[in-house]
Amino acid sequence: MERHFEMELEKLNVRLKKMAGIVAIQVNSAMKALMEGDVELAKQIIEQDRKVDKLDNKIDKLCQRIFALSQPVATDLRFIMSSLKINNDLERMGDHAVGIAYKIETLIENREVISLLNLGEVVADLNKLMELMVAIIEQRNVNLVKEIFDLSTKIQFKLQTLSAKIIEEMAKKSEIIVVATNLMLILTQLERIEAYTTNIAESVVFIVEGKLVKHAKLVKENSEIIDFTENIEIGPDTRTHQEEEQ
Amino acid sequence: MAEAKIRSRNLTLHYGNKMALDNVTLDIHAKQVTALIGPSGCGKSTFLRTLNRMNDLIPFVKISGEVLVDNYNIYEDKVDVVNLRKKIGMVFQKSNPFAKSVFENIAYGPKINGIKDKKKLTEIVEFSLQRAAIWDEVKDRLNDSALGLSGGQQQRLCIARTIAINPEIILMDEPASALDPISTSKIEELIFQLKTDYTIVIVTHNMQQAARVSDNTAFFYMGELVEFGRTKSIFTVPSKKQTEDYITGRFG
Amino acid sequence: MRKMQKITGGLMVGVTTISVMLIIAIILVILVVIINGGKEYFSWEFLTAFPEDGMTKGGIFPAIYGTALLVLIMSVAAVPFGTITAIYLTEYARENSFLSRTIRFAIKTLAMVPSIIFGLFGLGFFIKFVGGGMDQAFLGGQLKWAQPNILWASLTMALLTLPVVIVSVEESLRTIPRELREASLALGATKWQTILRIILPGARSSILTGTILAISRGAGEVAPILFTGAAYYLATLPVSVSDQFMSLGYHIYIMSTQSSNVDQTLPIQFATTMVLLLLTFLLNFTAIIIRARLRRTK
Repeated sequence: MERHFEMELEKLNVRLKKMAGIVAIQVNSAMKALMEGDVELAKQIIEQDRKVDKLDNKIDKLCQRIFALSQPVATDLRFIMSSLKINNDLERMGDHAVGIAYKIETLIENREVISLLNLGEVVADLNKLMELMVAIIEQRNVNLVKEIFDLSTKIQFKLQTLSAKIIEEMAKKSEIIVVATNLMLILTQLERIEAYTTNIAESVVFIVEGKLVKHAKLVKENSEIIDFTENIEIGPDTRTHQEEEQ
Repeated sequence: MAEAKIRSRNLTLHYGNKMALDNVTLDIHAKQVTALIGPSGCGKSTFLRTLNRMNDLIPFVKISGEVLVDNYNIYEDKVDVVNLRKKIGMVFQKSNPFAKSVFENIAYGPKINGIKDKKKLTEIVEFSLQRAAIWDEVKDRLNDSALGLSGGQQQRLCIARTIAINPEIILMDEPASALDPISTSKIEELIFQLKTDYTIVIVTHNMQQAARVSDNTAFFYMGELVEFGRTKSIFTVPSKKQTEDYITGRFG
Repeated sequence: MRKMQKITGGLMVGVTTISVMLIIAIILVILVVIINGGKEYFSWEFLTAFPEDGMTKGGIFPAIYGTALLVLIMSVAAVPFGTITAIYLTEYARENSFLSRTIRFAIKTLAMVPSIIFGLFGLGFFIKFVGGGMDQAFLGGQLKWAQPNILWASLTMALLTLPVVIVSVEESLRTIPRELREASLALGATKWQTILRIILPGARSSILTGTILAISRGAGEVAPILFTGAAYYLATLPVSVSDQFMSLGYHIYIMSTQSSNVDQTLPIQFATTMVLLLLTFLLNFTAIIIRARLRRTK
């Protein structure tokens, strides 16, 4: 007979996985809509967001309840703390997917810009990233972290390149400014989506190992990447409370 | 880094043929609170009682290894146990005030130590009762029987009684387990205040209490010390699975 | 089924009630007979005067005095010795050690021995051996201690009542919770300090109980003092421990079996019995009051 507490944890797990799945689909759909100029799909994405919000709420409430009524410690504590963070990150990701969906309409004309940009690669990468994100939430397999970080770096680089290219094109033909600007905004949102994914990966490491790992990145203007992957390990802390306060 | 007030080194204890402590090596840091946790029968109380040699009272006890207090092995033959116990006070699970007045209870320790001067005794009694956060409640009842106090008050009285002998170390064996929640939190608050002056070792079967009150936690299982570390690490990132299973309630 | 239980239940109540009433009735009958027989003689003079005319007249004051003195010396001997033994058994001796088992066996045996044996023992050991030895050592063979007197009689009686004291004190020492001893030791007290300051005060009322029981027996037993110190008639009261004494119980015995004029002394016998009963009752009562007072101030 499973303990009530463990059933609650399992409930949280299930909801989190569901949330990840839905958000991943939202992002995939946004990519598809972008590539194909599919306004109908964009509308669906915007509709789905309600579902995402609802689930976000439910997860928050569940975490709150578990905190108040049990006194979780160790892995359980880390899991619930991280669930709140992951939940938040997923919800934001969903928001950005919706943000992209809103702009699909504005991209119906002047689609030659899009074809020029060769978005296919980045889109494929992002879809792969979504796969990895769902996988790491489901399996809590910290071996996936390196893959996620690497892919994330790659995407950042590509987005930077694309951004530069759009500016180039804008300088050449002023009539595409509206499309170009919207595209730029979309790129920003893609970058945010990628950033949240690395956050989620870091949270999963915290659940499993209790370590705080940070993946920081600086991309210089002329496409040179300076990659800081700091591993700040904060394990058993031997300072006293007083020492820590200082 | 706080220096170790008490250190046990390879401490093994048998009750007759039964092993109660298995090769325990542990440092208790000065002026900090160290909690000993673990399931029933894991040896935590036994370990506590080796620190002031209360196990000597039990027949057929065999001890090997060392317990060093201020770097001096208290199990050496020439150690004066009576004096040792003046340096290390103990508070028990069930409060055990003597059938005397409040004043006489607190004055018992100093009197045993030869203090006869009435004025000095009164000072010590007042100081101890204040330090134990019970002065206001008993200052008008000093000559009444201690048995008339409530459970929580009696326990704080016992703490005051221990403070009166001016120990350096206070050992507490599940001090709040027989008390209601409000008395328990008073005792926990008291422990917070006391650690500025005394080194405290507390045995508790209540993990939340250990988490609330202690700086360091030692987890015992079947006589062995499984893990020892800062309390906040033990409760957020324990390094042994056994520890994790115990504190998350998955066994024990 | 229920009816059967009800009938048996009622029967039990009936039987026990009848037994109780029977016992009360018997006691009342005894009391009535005694009081009736002795009431004319019972007076203040009776209590304070010396016997006269071969016990056919006068009072029994010396017997009262002797009994009280006997009981006093007996208590002084038995109570401390018994208390210390009890303390040894509970505080110092290891459970089931050879010594403690031997002591307990001895106590049980002592309690079973018929009281006349104590008398013989008193004669052989105290009077002949110890007394004789004392006379040899201190008085060069003169006869002083090797004869019956109140000291030997009291000591003999003390042996008789020793088990009662020990058991009573030991029982109460055992009920003192271990935690109190531990608390005292944990404060840096020695074992002896703990016993003196915590344990003994806690056992006070039971020491008194033991004393009460001892006194009750001591006042009434006759066999142990038969050859160790009691006398039928003494002109003077005992002034030193080497004197003989008169005792109420002994007095009644001799009067009713060996006096020259049994019929004439009959009322005196009854009156003496009344006095003995009264004395015992008073002694018990006083001790009970003291114990109750002690308990209240705890």
